[in-house]
Amino acid sequence: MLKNYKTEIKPTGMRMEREKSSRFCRRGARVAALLFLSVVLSGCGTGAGGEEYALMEDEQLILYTSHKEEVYGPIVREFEERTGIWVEVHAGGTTEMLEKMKQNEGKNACDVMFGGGVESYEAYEELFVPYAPAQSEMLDGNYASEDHLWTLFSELPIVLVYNNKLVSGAEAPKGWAEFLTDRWKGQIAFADPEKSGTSYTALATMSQILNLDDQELLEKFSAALDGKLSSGSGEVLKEVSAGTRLVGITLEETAKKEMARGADISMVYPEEGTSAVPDGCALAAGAPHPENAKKFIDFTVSEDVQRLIMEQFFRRTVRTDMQSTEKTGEEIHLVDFDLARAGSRQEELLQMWAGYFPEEQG
Amino acid sequence: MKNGIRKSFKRQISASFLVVACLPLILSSVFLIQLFKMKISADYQKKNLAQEKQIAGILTGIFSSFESVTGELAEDETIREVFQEGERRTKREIYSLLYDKTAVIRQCAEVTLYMEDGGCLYSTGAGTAKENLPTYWGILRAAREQDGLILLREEAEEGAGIVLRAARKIPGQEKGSCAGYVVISMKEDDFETVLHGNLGGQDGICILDDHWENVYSSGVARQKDAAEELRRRRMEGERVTENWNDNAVYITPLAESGFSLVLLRPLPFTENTVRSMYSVLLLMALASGSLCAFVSGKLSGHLSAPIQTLNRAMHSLQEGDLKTRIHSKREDEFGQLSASFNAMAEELEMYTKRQVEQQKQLDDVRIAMMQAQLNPHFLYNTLDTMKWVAKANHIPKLATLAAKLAKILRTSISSEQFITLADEIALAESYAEIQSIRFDGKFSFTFEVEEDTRNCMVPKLIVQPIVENAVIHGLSECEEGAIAVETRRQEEELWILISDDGCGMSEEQRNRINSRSFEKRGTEGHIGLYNVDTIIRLHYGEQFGLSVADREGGGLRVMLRLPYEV
Repeated sequence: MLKNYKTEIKPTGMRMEREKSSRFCRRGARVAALLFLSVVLSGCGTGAGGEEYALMEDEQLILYTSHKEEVYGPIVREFEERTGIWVEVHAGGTTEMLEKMKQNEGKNACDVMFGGGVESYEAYEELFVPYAPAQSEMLDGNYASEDHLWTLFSELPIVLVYNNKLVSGAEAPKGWAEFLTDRWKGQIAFADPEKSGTSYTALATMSQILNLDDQELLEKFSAALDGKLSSGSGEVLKEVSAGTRLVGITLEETAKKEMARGADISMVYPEEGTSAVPDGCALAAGAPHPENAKKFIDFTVSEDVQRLIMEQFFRRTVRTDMQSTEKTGEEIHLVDFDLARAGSRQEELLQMWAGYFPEEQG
Repeated sequence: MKNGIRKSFKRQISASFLVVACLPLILSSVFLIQLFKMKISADYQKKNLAQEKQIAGILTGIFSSFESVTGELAEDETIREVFQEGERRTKREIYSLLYDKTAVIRQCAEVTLYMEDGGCLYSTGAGTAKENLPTYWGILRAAREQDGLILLREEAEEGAGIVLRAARKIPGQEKGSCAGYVVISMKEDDFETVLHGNLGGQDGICILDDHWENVYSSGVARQKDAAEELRRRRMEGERVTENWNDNAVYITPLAESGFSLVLLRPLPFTENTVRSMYSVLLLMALASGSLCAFVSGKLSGHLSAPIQTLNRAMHSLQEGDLKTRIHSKREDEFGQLSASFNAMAEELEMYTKRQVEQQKQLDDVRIAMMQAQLNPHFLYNTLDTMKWVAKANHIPKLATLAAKLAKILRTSISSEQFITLADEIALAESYAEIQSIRFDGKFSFTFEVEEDTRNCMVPKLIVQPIVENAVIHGLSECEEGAIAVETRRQEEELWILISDDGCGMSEEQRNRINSRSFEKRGTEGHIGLYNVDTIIRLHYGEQFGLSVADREGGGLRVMLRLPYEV
């Protein structure tokens, strides 16, 4: 009888049941997942893709620019209108855009760099490839790149401005030399040359015209600035017209535009003479749309654009055939400015600058 | 996890409950949400497309009226004469013509006539300020280059709030030459006038030029600059109609103008709505999950508790605690199972107890027998010596006595438990001979052994004690008596019958023996019967053993029943 108690009843039935149920569960889960997926998919599948709006590669152009929108906007719009090419604009400061190009090198990120003093192009020459625009023989030979690494766009003399209300015509600054004395101490609106290409050009111009070595120049000039820097080139005119500073160093173009808007300021061409460093335009190395880029460069020096920049933007044309038509008011004394020297000394000068204005770094 | 669930009945039940409670809820809710979303989205889309079509209709209507108005003006004789031939007309004359021709579009646009050099001549505009336009640039250049109407976006700041210009050249006398321009200008306000009443508060529209630059935008499209985003998408090859800022994007080209209309309508389901719907679903699933966990906890406890009890009871039984019982008041299968378990345990306990008792009894008998075997070799040798001494002294009876006694003794001290029936009978015969000599022939012994029982194996010393019992108790008071031993095979049993014609036994005594309720040993000297019965029973089981009966014609008949084994 004891034997009967020991009999093991193997739970085969139960195991089968369990297997069956787990198989059922698995299949159920699969069916549920399918259902779910179909619902989700059908929920998402509204409308087809936007292929109909896709652009062809040869309809595109990627433009890096350091111009303001009021400058590049009409030019780009007209270019698009005339050629049918779609222009993708990336705007920013000159150095910012050039650094961006450097970072994106080899990524087909840029076709044309448009704007910024040509000395900057010298400094970043490895980013560009030479291109001689269709009408290059018409362009001002003074500043033109010998190997056509860049193409001129407009000439931008550096001028002095002062606030009419606070400074009388008799007291008005006459030339660069005043800015190295205590005369305008703490009253000069000047943008940080590490951010503003114009400011750097102004420094280089002073250095070349006054024939000072950099050390001496920076020492005197920083003393005159008294540690006060404008946050950008746009601020210079605002500060002068608002009376925050009495005098400022800026571009002729900017000054004229501000005056046309009614700002109560006056513009002075320095008596020692000044530089008119042109800004330019260059074809990027490895440009994904080189043909369109060339079209754009040709367009920037075309008569229409050059006329536009003279009439609308108060810039000086780089076309010799049009310079005669320029309405020159006051006498401007342009000196020969050694671009190559300015370009090569840029880094060193800016490093020295950082020594005088350490808090402005970064 | 999976193993954890499989190893417990309770957890299996709970898990199944949870799945059954939550899965259908989640699935059906997700299904519903998606279905709802699809349905509403489809309705919205239909509505939005209709609205877009309506707005596009208005705009293309305006553009085509531009076309016809400028066409008429450019072809008008008077205008031609003024521009082509420089004929002088009064200002009033020209203006009345201009106002007359432009009546249909004037509420939403200004019409201006420009000379060939871009000088502004006549304008329907409210102001008196006339602005000349460059002919090398922009709209006039485009109009000169081309026959027909040209539409061009304008930067609002440049042209006194003008965002769109349409122009057509007034042909000169020579073919393809240009004598002047008809220019239509629209400001943002003009678009607002045109579209007034066709837009809901949340809608945004955006009119894009052929390069997808913003011409005019309103509502959400203006606040967030939709045009820029759409242009970026198109430039970067992304899907332009992708939803934007929780708005659905619809784009239609505006006839041949090259312009496009973009309508932005809030999505019926923003990410937030859907997310909150799913949060509610999650909460509901959690709620029903916890309810289910509670209920299934209770129920599976109810279901699995008796199984756990049974499991524990089984374990404790296995460990050897035979007193284990399950106390259950349930009347269902679990109750029955508990009862069966209790019955089983009871029986097991009793069986074990009996087993122990039997063993104890057997041991007692063995000890008794071993005591009886005390120094048997010495006795045997002595008897042998006696036999030879008797023979030497010519006392044959004594020699026989000694020889028979020695024989009995030898058999009884041998270690064999079982001997053949023939040997057992021979032993009984030896005893009989001794008793015959002792009582001087007072008793007669007959042995009748069936041939096929001779080789039966039986426990030794089961016949002699019965014969001795007959001699001592049955015939003690008789002058003479006869004792008969008979063996026979009765089917599968071996019967040994020992009868005497002595005084017999009282009925009470017989019953007591037959019912096996011997009082403990020594009962009225019937220890022999008791011992034999016990030996047989212990060896072969309860159904075999000893029984007594009256012999016909007086005396007692003892019957031994054993299995027939050879």
